[in-house]
Amino acid sequence: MNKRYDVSQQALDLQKLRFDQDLRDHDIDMILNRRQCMAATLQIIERNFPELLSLNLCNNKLYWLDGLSDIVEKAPQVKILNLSKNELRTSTELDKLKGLKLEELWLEGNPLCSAFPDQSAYVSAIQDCFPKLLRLVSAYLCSPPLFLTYATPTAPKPCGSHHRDSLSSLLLHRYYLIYDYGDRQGLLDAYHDEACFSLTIPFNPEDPDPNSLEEYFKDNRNIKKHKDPFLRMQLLKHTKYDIVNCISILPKTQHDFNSYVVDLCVQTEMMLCFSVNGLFKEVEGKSQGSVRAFTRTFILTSGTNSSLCIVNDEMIVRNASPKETQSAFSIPMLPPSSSYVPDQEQQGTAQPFSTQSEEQNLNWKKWEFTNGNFHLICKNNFCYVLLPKMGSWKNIY
Amino acid sequence: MRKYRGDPQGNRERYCGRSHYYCEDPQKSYSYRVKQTREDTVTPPMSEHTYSGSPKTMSVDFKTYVDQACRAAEEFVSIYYETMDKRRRALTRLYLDKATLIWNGNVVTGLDALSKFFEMLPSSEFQVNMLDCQPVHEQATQSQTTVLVVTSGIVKFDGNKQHYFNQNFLLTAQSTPNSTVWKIASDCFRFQDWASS
Repeated sequence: MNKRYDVSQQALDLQKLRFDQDLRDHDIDMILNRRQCMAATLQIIERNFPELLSLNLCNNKLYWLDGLSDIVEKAPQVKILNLSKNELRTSTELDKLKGLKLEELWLEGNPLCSAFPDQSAYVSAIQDCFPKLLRLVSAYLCSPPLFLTYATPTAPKPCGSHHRDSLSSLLLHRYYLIYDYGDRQGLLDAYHDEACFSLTIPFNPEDPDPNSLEEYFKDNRNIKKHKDPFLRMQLLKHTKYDIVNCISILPKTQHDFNSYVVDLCVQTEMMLCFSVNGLFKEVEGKSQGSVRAFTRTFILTSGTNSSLCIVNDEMIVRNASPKETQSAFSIPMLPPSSSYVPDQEQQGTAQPFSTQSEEQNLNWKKWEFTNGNFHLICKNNFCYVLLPKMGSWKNIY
Repeated sequence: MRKYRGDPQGNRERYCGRSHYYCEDPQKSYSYRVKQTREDTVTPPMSEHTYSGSPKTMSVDFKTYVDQACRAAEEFVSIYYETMDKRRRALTRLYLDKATLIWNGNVVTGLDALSKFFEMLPSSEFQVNMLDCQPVHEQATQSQTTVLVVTSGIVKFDGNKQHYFNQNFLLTAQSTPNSTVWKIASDCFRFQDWASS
């Protein structure tokens, strides 16, 4: 046991304990999901490492945590607990550890992760157990995980509804947070080197104010109208630099994530194609306040590091109807006082992302999002959730 | 290093709509035209080409690919909506066997289901006002030539009021020795809640 204890970190690594060579050599079968084994382990911890701060129980086929509940007495200082890749089915198991003042919890790879109707229910349930929790690591938050393992030709799942936790929803969230609140140059990593983008404005004779879309006119590509091959070529943005330059000049926006309706068109090993219909409003310039409706079709493929990148991106933008304008932003997404302020004391500032350094953080590879309840970070294709300590945010990573 | 395969000639004459079928070109055989059914969107056969080390090779390739996508899209769109309006029962011929249709959120997969669906759908009158298309990158399609087609317009189904719609298709090229036939791999259709209608 001693060899698995790291004194400097006060961390004990009991990962896959059953297969530990030393234990096997001594003919000791340490199956942690058996009550006696767990009890014995906890006794050893109590005797030898009572100051334990971090415990790794990954990959031990734990179905229940009854045996572990004694840890609250035997190793009360544990702040970091790794329970990933076990067989925990419900969050009530975690209730058994309630006395622990956990700051960091790893849960990925447990069946309980997909047992929740949506992401915020999941996070709330965990928060209820461990109110002091600062960091939750769970692949559910990007389910299916961002490392692609699509089965080949799958029939697309039923869609068209607000499927908050699907991969496409998560990608959209990530994309539009940078698009709305960061420097759009931060989207360079979201695109393939040779990606394509084009934009069109559908024709509607009943639109009372078609000219309010004038900022989009210069990019409007309608091959029914434009017959000249040179012009058709010009209006299609090719390469990620051209695309990002183009979208950087488009008006600054705020998208209503709650209005999104996503249709998943294709999901295969190499391609993810979906269409999103939704609303956004313009937040500056001549048409400030105008609400637009858009349909955006994305085609993504697996790029370097198994991360997804956009190869095709097509946007239709039009003025929203009176009914759509009314319904837009009716469900608040970011409470007005919740600004993205890591490491700051200021509360309730009206302007989100006011400082330069915060804007720089918003890029595809590493980005953050906060909504006052939790703080979501995407880094190296994993999503981490940070739960705020009372009063201020803390950057842990 | 070529990423796109495309029509080598990129001839301007064959660019506008149907006229390319009648273009004089001794190298190509147009007898296939007789054998194809009216519903097929057909473009002249694609073949590999080599450019002799021109520095503009990459952008020339991409351009011809864009041209090809535009041609396919224009041809396809006119055939698709005409078939939908006037020869509804033949519509499923434009779809791949495993194609999927998402119609206002309803998922319909496979030719059988598509047949039943189109049978049940009332007769239609489509008017397409907008068309855009992009060649889909080879990496996503594993070298199966594919075009993203996006359309928008107005439709009136019998017995219902008029609706605006947005629609997008993924068209995949199926090459035969004499021609390339484009078929729908996925079709996503949604009404748009435009003005007061």
